[in-house]
Amino acid sequence: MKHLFKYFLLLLMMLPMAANAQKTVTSAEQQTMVKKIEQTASSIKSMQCTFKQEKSLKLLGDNMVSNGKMYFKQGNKLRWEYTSPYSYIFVINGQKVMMKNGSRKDVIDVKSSKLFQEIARIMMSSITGKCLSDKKDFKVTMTKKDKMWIAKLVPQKKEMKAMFSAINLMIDSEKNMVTQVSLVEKTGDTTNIQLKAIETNGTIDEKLFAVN
Amino acid sequence: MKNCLLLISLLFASLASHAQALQYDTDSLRRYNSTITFGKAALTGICLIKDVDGEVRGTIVNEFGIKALDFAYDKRRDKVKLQNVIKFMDRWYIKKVVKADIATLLRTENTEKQLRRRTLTVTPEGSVSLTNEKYNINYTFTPLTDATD
Repeated sequence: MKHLFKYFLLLLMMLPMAANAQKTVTSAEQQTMVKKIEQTASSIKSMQCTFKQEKSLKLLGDNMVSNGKMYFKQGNKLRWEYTSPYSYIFVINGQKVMMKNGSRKDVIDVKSSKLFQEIARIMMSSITGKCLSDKKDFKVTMTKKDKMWIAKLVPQKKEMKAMFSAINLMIDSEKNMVTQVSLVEKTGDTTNIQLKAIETNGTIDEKLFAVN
Repeated sequence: MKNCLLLISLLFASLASHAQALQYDTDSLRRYNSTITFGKAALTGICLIKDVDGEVRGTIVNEFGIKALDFAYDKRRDKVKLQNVIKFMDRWYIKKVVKADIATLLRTENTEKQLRRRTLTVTPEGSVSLTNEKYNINYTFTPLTDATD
C-alpha cells in the first residue's frame, strides 16, 4: 500500500511536468505555423520595442544583463541600441551598417563584407520571423508550449555554424510574433533577448536610422 | 614627524604601483568597456573579470554578447590560458601575444623586462590602457558604472 502511494505521488508530480513540456508538432502543423508567422511578418511595416538581454557566462558562473531599444522599418532599416549598462548603437540602413561605441563610430558598406551582409540579413529576418522559411540558413523544428510556439533554428551556413549551435525563437501564438530570442553558442554560453512593449506599424523618426 | 609622513606616503605610493592594472573581486563581477585595436581593425565590447577560487577568470564579449575569448590567469604560476577564442584571433602567434599582454594587465607587479616595448597606464578613475608597441596592439578598459540592470 505504501509503495502504491509513493508511485501515485510520483505520478501526480509528473503530471504538471507533462502538461508544461514542449509538444512536437506535425509537419503540416509546422507549415501552418510558419505561414501564419510569415503573413504577420509581411504586414509589419515598422516595429519598435524595448529589450532585455541576459548573457550567461559559464566560466565566471555569472550573468551579464543589458537593456536597450529596437526600431525596425521595412526597407532594410534596423536600429539596435543598448542603453544600459553601456551605450552602443548598431544601425542598418540599406547597404550601410553603422556601429557607435562612445566616441568611436564605424560605417561599413555591407557589400564590402560578406559577414556583415549575413549579420544584417539574419537580424532582420529573425526579428520578423521570416528566417523560419529560409531553408538555406537554418534547419527549423517547431514545438509548442502553452500559448507559445518555439522555433529551434540550427544554422546551416559555415559562418553561423562556427558561432552558434542553435537559435531559439519564442513566438506568441496569438500575435504570431517573436517575443524572445535565445542564442546558444558552441561554447555553452547562452544569450537570451526578451522583447517587450512591442508596437507595430507606428511612426518612427527616420533620423533614428541615420548612419552619418 | 615630517620624515614619518614622507615614509608613509612613499609606502602607499609603492603599494599602489604594485597593484594590478585590471581590478577583480572574489564575490562580484568587475565590468569594463573594452576596446582592442590591431592596426586599423578594432574589437569593442565588454570585459568581465572575477577571481574564482584564486584564479582570475575573464571573458571579453562584444556588445551583442558574442564572445571574443575567455581567459584564466593563474596567479601562482603567472600563466594565462585562453579558451574559446574567436576565429580571426585563433592563431598561435596572436594568442601568444595576447596571453602575454593579459598577464601584464593582471600581474600585481610587472618587471622592466615584462614591460619592455609596452606602455601601461592606469588613471585614478581606474581606466586602463596598454599599448604593445612591438605589435601595434592597444587595449583600453574603462570601468562600467552600474546603471539599471
